[in-house]
Amino acid sequence: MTDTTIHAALSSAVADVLERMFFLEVLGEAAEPPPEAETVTVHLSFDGDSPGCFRMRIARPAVKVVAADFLGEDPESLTDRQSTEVTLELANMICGAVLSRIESSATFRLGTPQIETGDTGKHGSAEETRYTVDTGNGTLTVAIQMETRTCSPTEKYAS
Amino acid sequence: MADCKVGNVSGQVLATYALGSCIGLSVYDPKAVVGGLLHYMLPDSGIDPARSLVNPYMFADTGIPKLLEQVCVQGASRRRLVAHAAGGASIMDPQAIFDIGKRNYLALRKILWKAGILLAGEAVGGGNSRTVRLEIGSGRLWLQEGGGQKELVPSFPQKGGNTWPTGS
Amino acid sequence: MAYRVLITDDSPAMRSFVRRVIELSGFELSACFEAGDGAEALAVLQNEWVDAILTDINMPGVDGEELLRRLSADESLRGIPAIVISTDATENRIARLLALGARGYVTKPFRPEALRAELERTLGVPSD
Repeated sequence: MTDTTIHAALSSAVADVLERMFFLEVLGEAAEPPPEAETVTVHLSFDGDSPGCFRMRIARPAVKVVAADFLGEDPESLTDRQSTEVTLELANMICGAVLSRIESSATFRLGTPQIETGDTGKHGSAEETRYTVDTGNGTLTVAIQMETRTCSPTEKYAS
Repeated sequence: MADCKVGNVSGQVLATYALGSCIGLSVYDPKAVVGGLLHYMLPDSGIDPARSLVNPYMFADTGIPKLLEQVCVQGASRRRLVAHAAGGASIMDPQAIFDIGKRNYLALRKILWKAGILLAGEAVGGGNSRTVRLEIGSGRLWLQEGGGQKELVPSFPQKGGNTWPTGS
Repeated sequence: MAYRVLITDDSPAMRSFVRRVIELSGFELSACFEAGDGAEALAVLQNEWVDAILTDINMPGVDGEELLRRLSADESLRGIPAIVISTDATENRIARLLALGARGYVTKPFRPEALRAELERTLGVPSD
């Protein structure tokens, strides 16, 4: 499993989800915001043939706009709870779409997405593949780490 | 180019021409026998609010609500409207950094979703220019593209067999 | 005709989205039950009849596959058409769900029109 393959899966999945259910056009990769930027982060784990974890980091100003577009409502009429629920589902859908692209014949099971609060120190590990887009109201970054990337037999027993 | 026509008389035919990257949105109420056809060019009036006051039909966000308002004034019910879209083609322009046809189409989808209207069919994307005609009496919608003409019927599977999985 | 449906998904946002699609597709709803997982869905079905069940797969507790399994094992419930709405579009999963009696399948992300098509295929075009 190459980083290029995973990166392609991330970009394709993000575009697919944002266009189909949020009516957002993604113009290509953008620069990742710094760790101190105002963002909301969602984390979810998955297990099955290739366990791992997924994170989505979205700019705060984008949260309500994206949620309103999904629910077909005006941003002003949404509660924080509704915005959070949509944000969690967005992460769930992107993760599922990525995994379907990477492992079309494997079995996987997604955990429950959770909002990460506070600084968990998880600002990116060397083993993650990341991808960032501009939503028009701020950036959205997705990152995935899969066990098979580092635990394939050839890598494990190389030299 | 950017305009909106509404008809409520059997025998009338509304038409809009040369839909390249523009979108032609057709709505029709079969019970009230009222239909409308909007031709817009750009997704968002925010880029030129002054222009949208002069011609709201130039933009999706000002034109679509106006179209819906006008057909409803003529007796159409939003819930009964049968909607079709045509256009949103990718016109190759080396200066362009984004696909205006696709942007127009996504703007349409977003606004219709908020307005509570699903599309019955569409002929969008690609590279061809299109012309659309709506017959008010019958509600039939004709699409002219690439030298040929055909009826634009519901293009999402309605009944009968379907392959799994669907998502598009 | 008015319809009674049960929407099962652990995401309240997705339940709202699905409900909206059903309504905009012309299916007048006389009842719309919601459940956060398969166990809640089965509890609803103890007391209520529905014309269709729409269910996610990945849910904590009793997941969608287990729900389908229990529906098909129950004589009084196995006739209710179930449409699966899931992120999992893998071949293995779809084959299993077909075998468990799912009548339709929509992959997330999906266009509202795609769900409408699946609803009409399963329930027929709604009458006025």
